[in-house]
Amino acid sequence: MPTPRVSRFARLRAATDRVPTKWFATIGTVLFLAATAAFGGLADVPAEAKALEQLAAGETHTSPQLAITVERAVLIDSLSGTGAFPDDEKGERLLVLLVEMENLWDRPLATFGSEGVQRAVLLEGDARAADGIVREDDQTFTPWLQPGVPAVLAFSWVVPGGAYADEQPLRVVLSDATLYQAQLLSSRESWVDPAPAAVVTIPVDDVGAGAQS
Amino acid sequence: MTRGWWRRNAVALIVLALLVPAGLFALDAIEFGAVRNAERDIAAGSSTSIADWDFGSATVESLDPAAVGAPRGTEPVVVTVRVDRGHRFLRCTPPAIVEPATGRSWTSITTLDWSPPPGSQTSCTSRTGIPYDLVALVLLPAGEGQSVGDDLIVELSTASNLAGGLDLRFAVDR
Amino acid sequence: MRGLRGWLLGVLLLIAAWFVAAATPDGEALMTDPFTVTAAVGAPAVGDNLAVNIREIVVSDGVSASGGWQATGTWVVVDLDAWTVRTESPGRIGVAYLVLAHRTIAASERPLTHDSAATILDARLHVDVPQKGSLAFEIPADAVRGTAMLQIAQDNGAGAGDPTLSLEGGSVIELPLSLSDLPTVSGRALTPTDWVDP
Repeated sequence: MPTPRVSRFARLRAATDRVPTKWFATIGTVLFLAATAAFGGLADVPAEAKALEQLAAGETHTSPQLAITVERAVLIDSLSGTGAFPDDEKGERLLVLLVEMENLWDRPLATFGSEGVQRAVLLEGDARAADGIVREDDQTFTPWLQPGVPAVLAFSWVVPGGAYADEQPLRVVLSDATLYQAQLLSSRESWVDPAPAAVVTIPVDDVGAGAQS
Repeated sequence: MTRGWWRRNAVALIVLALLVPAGLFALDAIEFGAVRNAERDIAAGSSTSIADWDFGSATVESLDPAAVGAPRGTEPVVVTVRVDRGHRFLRCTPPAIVEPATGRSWTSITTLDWSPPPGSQTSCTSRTGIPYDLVALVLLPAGEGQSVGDDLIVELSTASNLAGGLDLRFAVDR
Repeated sequence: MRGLRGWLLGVLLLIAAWFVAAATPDGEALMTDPFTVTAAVGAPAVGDNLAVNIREIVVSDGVSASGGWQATGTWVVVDLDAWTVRTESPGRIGVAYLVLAHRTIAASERPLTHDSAATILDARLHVDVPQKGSLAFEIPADAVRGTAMLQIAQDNGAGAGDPTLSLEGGSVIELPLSLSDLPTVSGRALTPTDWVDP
């Protein structure tokens, strides 16, 4: 006969009957908050602001994946062959960065797609990757970067007409990705999680409508 | 196995008898369903129906390579399938040529000097109720040991929401 | 079987099963491992659908192609005939790699910017009707030495960025090369993609 159990249970019930139910919610919340406070609180801990490498035009930033050199920043009404199309009626213009990139990995890298290196060059305060990326020499659109073969690329953004001015110092954020090797499904390696690593400060050169060529 | 054994395990055995073939069928459909369509063979000169569409008959006609800018040692052929479309939605591919003896297949080539004759077209879309010839130009090899025999199939893949994928294989008299 | 003997037998069977599982080949991997066909210059090499006859390979300082495209740099140019043996869909040289000592180069898509017939990469091939054309590989200037492996295959959908992944599931035509033994030229013109026998 489970008589002892019944009486123990009865005693517990009697005790809890004395505490008003609505208190449970408050006590529970307090306990929860105390526990989370002990582990660092509920608010997101901001990522440690890593010291970003400060560079000027023509200086190279090197990561395990890429060597990037921002050479020139040009503001132009429009430019064919850049893959970016500003709307003249809205007063849009193009901001074009000439960037030398070298693939330091051991296999080809794409400049398109979710893991492409277009994420490595961004304008400060703008999360968009460039609207058009082409090779400066033959205008190949979204080119492959062959390992060990440097290439000069034109990164073009469509920008509002008044957003940038001649000789304004432009800050270009260069990000480093991390090599990730998927373990379970395949042995595929890819570069993920780009994080800002360097800032290139470069004056914008407003060339108006550009040279007639 | 005594009669008592059979009776005691009757339910389990019936379930097994149903599940095993169903399982085999499901396995086959799942593993190969994505790769292989159901097939329907049509005799030479005949036609067939899917939903409210009529397909057939199919013909193959040889052209002179020089006339279409095809290289030497080849046999360009015009593949024609008569189509009378219905109201139901059906997708189909341009006709291709399959050689059953070797498993080789050829699909339409669009870079030669040839365009569909009047009354014919290269895709399945058209207004309901107006029959037309679905045509494709196919480049067959004609060199030694490479040429395609007379035993040919004209293959057309169709897909509809109701019937899934169905490959029509028309025998042709060359 | 009751008691201890039953348990012991169970454990032994479990251990035996582990050994069997460990010895079983990885079916998934074997199914997708590419099937290799070794080519020789001047002779046809036939994979499961793709077939090529590699005619000539040179190292060139600068290249040009139909449509007016040209480029500087160090290039390995492969002239070949290509066709398919079974089906035309799919039927293309989708990926081609030059595997160097420490790097893998993919055949360049750059010539295609000005003319879709400038390189036979990605050109539509025909069953038993061969076409001729070129593949061009842009390599680092200091890499023209030692041995390399040329790999040619249909694209299985994975694209050129992952050499192991894009070769899975089909055949690969391979040709070992000695880069330092290749003829060196200047300003090589790629063969425009065309019928072998027009």
